[in-house]
Amino acid sequence: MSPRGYLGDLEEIVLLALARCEPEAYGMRIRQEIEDQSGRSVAIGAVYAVLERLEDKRYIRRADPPEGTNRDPRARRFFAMTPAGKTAVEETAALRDRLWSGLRLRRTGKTS
Amino acid sequence: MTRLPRFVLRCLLPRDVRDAMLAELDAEYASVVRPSCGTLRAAAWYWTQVFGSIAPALAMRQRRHGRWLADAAQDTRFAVRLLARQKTFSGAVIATLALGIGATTAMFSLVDAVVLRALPYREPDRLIRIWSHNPRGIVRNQISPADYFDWRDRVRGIDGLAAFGAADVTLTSAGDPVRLNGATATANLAGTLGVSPLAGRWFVDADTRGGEPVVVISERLWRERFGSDPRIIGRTVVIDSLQREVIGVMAEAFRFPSADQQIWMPLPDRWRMVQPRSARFLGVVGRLEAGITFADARDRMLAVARQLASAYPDSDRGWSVTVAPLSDAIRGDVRAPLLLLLGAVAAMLLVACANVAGLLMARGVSRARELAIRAAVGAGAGRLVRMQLVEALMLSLLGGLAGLALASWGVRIAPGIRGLNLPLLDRVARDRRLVMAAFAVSLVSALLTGMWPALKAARHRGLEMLGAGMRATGGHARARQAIVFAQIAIATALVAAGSLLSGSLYRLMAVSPGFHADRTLLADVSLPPAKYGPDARAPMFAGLLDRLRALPGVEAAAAGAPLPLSGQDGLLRFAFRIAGREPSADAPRAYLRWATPDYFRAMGIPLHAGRVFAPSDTARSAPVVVIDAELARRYFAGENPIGRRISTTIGRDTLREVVGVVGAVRQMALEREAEPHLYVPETQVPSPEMTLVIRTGGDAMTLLPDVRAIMRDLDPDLPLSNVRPLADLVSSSAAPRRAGTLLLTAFAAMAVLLTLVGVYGAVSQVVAQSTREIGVRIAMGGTRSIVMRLIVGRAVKVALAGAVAGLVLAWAGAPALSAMLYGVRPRDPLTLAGAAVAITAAAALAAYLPARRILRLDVLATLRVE
Repeated sequence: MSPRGYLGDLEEIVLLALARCEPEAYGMRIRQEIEDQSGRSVAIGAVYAVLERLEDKRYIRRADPPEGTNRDPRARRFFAMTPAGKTAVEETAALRDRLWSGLRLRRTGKTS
Repeated sequence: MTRLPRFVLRCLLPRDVRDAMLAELDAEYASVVRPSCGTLRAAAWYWTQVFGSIAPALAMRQRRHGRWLADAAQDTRFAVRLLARQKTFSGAVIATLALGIGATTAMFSLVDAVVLRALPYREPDRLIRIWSHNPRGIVRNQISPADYFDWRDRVRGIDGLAAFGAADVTLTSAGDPVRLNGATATANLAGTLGVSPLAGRWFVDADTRGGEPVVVISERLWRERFGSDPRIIGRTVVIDSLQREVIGVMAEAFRFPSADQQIWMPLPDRWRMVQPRSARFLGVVGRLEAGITFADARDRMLAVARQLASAYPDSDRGWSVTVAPLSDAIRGDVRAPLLLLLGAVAAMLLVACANVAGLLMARGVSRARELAIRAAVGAGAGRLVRMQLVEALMLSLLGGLAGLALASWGVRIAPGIRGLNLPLLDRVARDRRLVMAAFAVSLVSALLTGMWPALKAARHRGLEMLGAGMRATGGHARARQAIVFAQIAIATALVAAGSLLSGSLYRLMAVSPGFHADRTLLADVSLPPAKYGPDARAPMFAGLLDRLRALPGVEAAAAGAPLPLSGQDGLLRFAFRIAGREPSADAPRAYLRWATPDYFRAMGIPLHAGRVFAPSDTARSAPVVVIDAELARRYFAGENPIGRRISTTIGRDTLREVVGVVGAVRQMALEREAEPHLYVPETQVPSPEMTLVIRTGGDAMTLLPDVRAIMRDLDPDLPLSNVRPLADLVSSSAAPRRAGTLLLTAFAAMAVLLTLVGVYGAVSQVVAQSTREIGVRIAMGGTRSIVMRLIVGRAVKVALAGAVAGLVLAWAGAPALSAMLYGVRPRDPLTLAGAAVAITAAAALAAYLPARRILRLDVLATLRVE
């Protein structure tokens, strides 16, 4: 049920990386997570731009900093996934599964 | 290594994410990346992050500003494509703008550093400079130590009244002996100015009260002579044969009292007692206390001066004080010339912008069809205006970039230009202020160049232009005429100013200084008093001169002090009395000079009557004096001065017999009339500081190694300083004027060139766009030459009107120029008329060249095209 349509490639990646980082999800940390998982270098600006888009679409929201971190408003911003965001990644994943089902290609890197 | 990319990113990021993102980036860089992979790779990582973030940053910006920015980006792309396609056009425009923007930016930075920016002291607005005001109207006279200490004790409301005096010294303990620009200063000087040493400390009261001899040195001296020794504080150095302990180093930026200050020594308190009250040689600064206005301070100082005048009538009667803000004291003299130059360069920029505006408009006409189509398919007037502005902006920014390179070069070489040794010039730097200035000037020029074409675009009426095609509209031609008119007016005014200044320079260089400046070498020698008492000086100089005279090629070797035009004058003006005359209230006064017998021959100063000094004039023979023609004219009018006696306060008030009269010499400056002078023999009045004057048969500078060898042989601790040809004194005296004249003339020349290009372009366009009209006229029986005369005549009419307007400008601006002129009136009719005629003639030629094309025009072919 996503009225805004499916997620873009980078949007999906950022959203999933963000979910993996919570509750410590902030720009640089997310960037690092993507780099760790994909082995691809991502610029911090790109992550920020996508986070901004996701926030506009209400897939993520600003979150309070975890206990014991700097509360200066100019310091790093923390994010959390919203239920709508969760639905969006799930739907994207479901779409993938539907598209894959019954398809006979060699899926590299995934052993079943 | 990360500062530049960080700055770029900072400029590009939207404000609301800027701090957060940069903070994260920096934190990661500092705490994770750099510790783990080394500085170089960390920097590479940082650069990659920044480059990758540029496009997203722009995207984020675009989301905030919406459509407007997207359109602007599109316009920019379009403009860039257009400019890239028309390489010649763009190149010409960018070069023109670069010239104008570069010169304006460089000049502005100069003015900014020297005139506009606050002085490099704490609360500089509250600092004042005080002089004594002498009864004969010398407004800025120096002050005696006794007067200074009395002022300090008596005046209220001025904080930390501090004094300083020039005291050049010889440093012998660090490498070759060297003469240094030194000063004595009171302990409160640093506090008053609000500066603190780079290392160590400034003087304290104990130092001036007569404690251990100490010295503070400049950062430059510390670097150049002491190899930036980290343990400099506490080191002992030998200055004028006296051991002093270095207690502090002042930062490079501290240049007080002179621009090239190398060393400071404590001003001893005992000078208050031992120096006569009439020996005035100090400068004084102070700081206004809170709540005290400048006028209050002046009133209080005047009151103190009145008290001293009645308490010490012998030395202080008639003396008052002059008070001025320190800022005025330092840069008052250079403000007007610099602002004039800035005005000239800005005028040149205007002319350049006018050219570019003309070019853009001309192209706008040939692009009328394209614009009409755009309007027809829905581009609003606003969009068309913006397209023009964006184009002008692109051109200006590119021109500004090239101009910045030009300005940066100009700023780098400026301090090296002779005659541009302005106060505070060291603050001109290739820094962010320069970039900002270039940017601001570019924006202004974008507005100036883009405005007219943009306004035209705004008036576009869609489809009707499609039919109109390429035909020039009347309004357009008028606008171009207006531009040419303005250009010619500005160029005429600049040329008039340039000719006046050049004329002044020419007349000044024709002035005879009263001596022959060729083939003569000068070098200052200073005998430290501790090593050479009064009796040891004359033999020392006599021995030195004998050996110099023996050098091959030397025609005369002598010593004198102070040399004319050397800038070392001012203090040595003495009252004297002529024996046999009643002493009057208005005692005769003359400047005092020292000379050895050969001095006049070496300098080429002619002897008018009597004799010059001879070796027989010794300390034991009768005291003698030589006067100059100006003194004879003023004080011995119609009498024979030879054999008369003069008493001076110099040399224990002895009566001296006038033995000779020599030619008058311009001592202060080439443009100042000669003043009366008295010459005393160095053998009778020993002076520790003399300038060697060595006249040769050929190139004087080739003698220098021999002179140095002789000096070293006589006393290895004595430095030769200020070694220069005598001709240097004359040219340095005119150097500031020459530099200013050269700059202004160059700006005027560029303005003229640009104007002529503008005239040429405008006429070309008229010819190109009125081929149809010309064709018709010729077909109707008019000859080509009539048509050509018509076109050139129209241009000349505009040029004449412009020249007249320029003359009005020059006339109105004349008072600003008058202080800089010598021997020329600021409204000299011949010069002004000459400028107007020259410009008009040149404009006529610039109009004739393109108009000549008409003669070759195939009329029928033109008509057939239509």
